[in-house]
Amino acid sequence: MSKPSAVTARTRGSLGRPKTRRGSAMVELSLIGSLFFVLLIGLMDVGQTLFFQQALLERARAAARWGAATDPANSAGIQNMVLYSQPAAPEGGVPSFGLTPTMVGVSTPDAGTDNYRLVVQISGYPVKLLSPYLAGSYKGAPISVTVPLGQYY
Amino acid sequence: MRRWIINLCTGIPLSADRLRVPRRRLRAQRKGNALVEFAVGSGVLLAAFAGTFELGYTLNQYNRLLTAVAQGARYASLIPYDSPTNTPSAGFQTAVQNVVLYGAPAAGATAVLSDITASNVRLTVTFSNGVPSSVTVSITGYTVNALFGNHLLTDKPQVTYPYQGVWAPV
Repeated sequence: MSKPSAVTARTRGSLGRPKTRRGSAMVELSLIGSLFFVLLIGLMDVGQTLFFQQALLERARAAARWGAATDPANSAGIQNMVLYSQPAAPEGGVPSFGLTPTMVGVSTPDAGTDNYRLVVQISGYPVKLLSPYLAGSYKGAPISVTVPLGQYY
Repeated sequence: MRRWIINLCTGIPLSADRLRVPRRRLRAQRKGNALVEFAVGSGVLLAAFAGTFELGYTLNQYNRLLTAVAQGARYASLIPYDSPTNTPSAGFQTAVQNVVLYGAPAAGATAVLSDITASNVRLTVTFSNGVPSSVTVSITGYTVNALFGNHLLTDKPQVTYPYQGVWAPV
């Protein structure tokens, strides 16, 4: 019979169970777990940011289309279309996505020319991140939609 | 030969009892497994992560370009066309390119993507029966750099609208 090697002796506990492997699972979990959760939360942040951008772009587009089809000069109505998806602000209504009226800009540059157009812009809307070291409220990338109104006005 | 029949997830040999391998030897075999497993596992994970990022980023940039190109094509379909042939005038072409890049007929400060230029915006006017019938705007020769891979865009995204403006050749 051969003598048990040093490695075997160290790894064997009183009940014949490996001793050193018990702690390593915990270390492994903390290493892999932190990486996993950073990835997961980062994924949520990226997804949320892109969702906000697309949702607001769609809002701006719908509002610009409504304005071009009705009255491009009705900037208050177009602004309400962005904020509430309806031309008139509802009583006690709270705009979606943390928007405020100052974040929505409506303009009609180059009036009286072929370049007459309606521009709807959304800027400074809040995006809340959860990632460690980055957590907090940020301003989203500005959104701008231009609808040419052409020579018809 | 038999000692390599192991469970890849746990590193424990399959049916260890039946193979009658001494426990001591099993542990010795398992030692190297963690490292090999980590190398294989993290390699696959990193590749999947890189691929996901590359695809997602490229699609995001493509989507932005598509929005910009559609905006430019819509503008081009409405303003008066001032060239007698299907080669647009310099003013017409520049205005359309600026709408794609900056959202306005006059050049602005920040383009839709940081490194895109007017030369990447292609405008094609199609005549039928001697009058302008449609305008096509596309992105060409632009490379999306997605860190793990590059994607050259040739004539895409591309948007075509029927021409609805006034033809006023000078």
